[in-house]
Amino acid sequence: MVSAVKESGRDKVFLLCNYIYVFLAFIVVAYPVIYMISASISDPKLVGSGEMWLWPKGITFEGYQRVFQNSSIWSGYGNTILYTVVGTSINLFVTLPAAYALSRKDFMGRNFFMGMFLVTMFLGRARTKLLAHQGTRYGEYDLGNRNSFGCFNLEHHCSAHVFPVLYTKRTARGCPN
Amino acid sequence: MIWNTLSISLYELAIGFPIPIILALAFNELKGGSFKKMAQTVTYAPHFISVVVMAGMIITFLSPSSGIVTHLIEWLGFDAPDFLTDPKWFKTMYVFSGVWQSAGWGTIIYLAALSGVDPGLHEAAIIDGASRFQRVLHINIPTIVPTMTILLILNMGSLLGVGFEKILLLQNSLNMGASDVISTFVYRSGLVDAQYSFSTAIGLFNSVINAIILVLVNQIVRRTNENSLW
Repeated sequence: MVSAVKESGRDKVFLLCNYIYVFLAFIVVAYPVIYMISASISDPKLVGSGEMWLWPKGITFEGYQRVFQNSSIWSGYGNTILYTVVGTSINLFVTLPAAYALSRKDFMGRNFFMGMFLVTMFLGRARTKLLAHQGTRYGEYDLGNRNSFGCFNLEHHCSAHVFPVLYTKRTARGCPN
Repeated sequence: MIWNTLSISLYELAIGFPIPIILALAFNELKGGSFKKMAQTVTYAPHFISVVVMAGMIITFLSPSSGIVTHLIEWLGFDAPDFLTDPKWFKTMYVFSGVWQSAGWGTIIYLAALSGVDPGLHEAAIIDGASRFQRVLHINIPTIVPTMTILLILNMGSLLGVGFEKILLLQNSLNMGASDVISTFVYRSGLVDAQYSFSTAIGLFNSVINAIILVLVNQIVRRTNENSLW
């Protein structure tokens, strides 16, 4: 875009410093990531003693074998995906209309509802803990954990996802009325 | 305990807030190419590492006998402090590992804001003889100020809500003096010692203070410029 203009001396120094800065950030971040990958396929003894420090040593895939044989990891994945898909769709379904309504200046009781949203955002944490605690206690008696999924989802978009409401609201405010 | 919570989060804000901004500005100045793409991808990567793995890595790297950081410091000729058990180092360890993990991810939102810079402004500035650094200072930074303000307000809202898992994982009886924060205290009194009402009360108190701080900061920002949250 602007590269047709010849770089002046100052700009060259600036660009050089910039490249050095990004390169340092790159090294600092890349090293532990490489280390982690190497550690996952190295002999645990060599990792523990610090002999393996960058590239894998005593390569073994036993860790991965155990992961793939462990059935609870797969059910865990299933749950994660289910929570994400259902959670996100419910969340969008609730967030977008709420944000649109709140972005309208002629919406009655706008400040009241905004206040209510903000309160849940901050009190959500304490309430989730309480609910989770009650859930486990009921679970011991008769309800089972049937309700935990619904409880989680409701809680989730009631409190944690007020941020998207706020953000969408800001964006929607920019639209012509 | 409140002091620990407050000092950790202020420290985190002071270090963790500007670094993604600087990084995003630096990325923005790189000419597109494989290095830029690679640097961006690699700096995003730590965001996806789970907290438990993260704590394991911190413990391995800082281990007094075999940790790479300890070796590096000794190789440079200094005495390596005992990061994991010394209360003085707990906050630094916590904050810098957090920056390491989230700085790259934090640049995304700033880069999105930077892509909205009007190229006409840059062209005009070049014709006027502005250097790259001056253009960053007077064009790019003012463009992302609204984004910065919003993120700052949101960060202020969680000032007393320092992340729970990583602190709990890095906590041990020796560094307890610096690592005991409100959330871990709530966990210990509520779920370990089974004083539910007490810990809920602390949690609620904490939330209320957070809410007050958020409202206050938002008010201040609304008075001083137009980019407030509501």
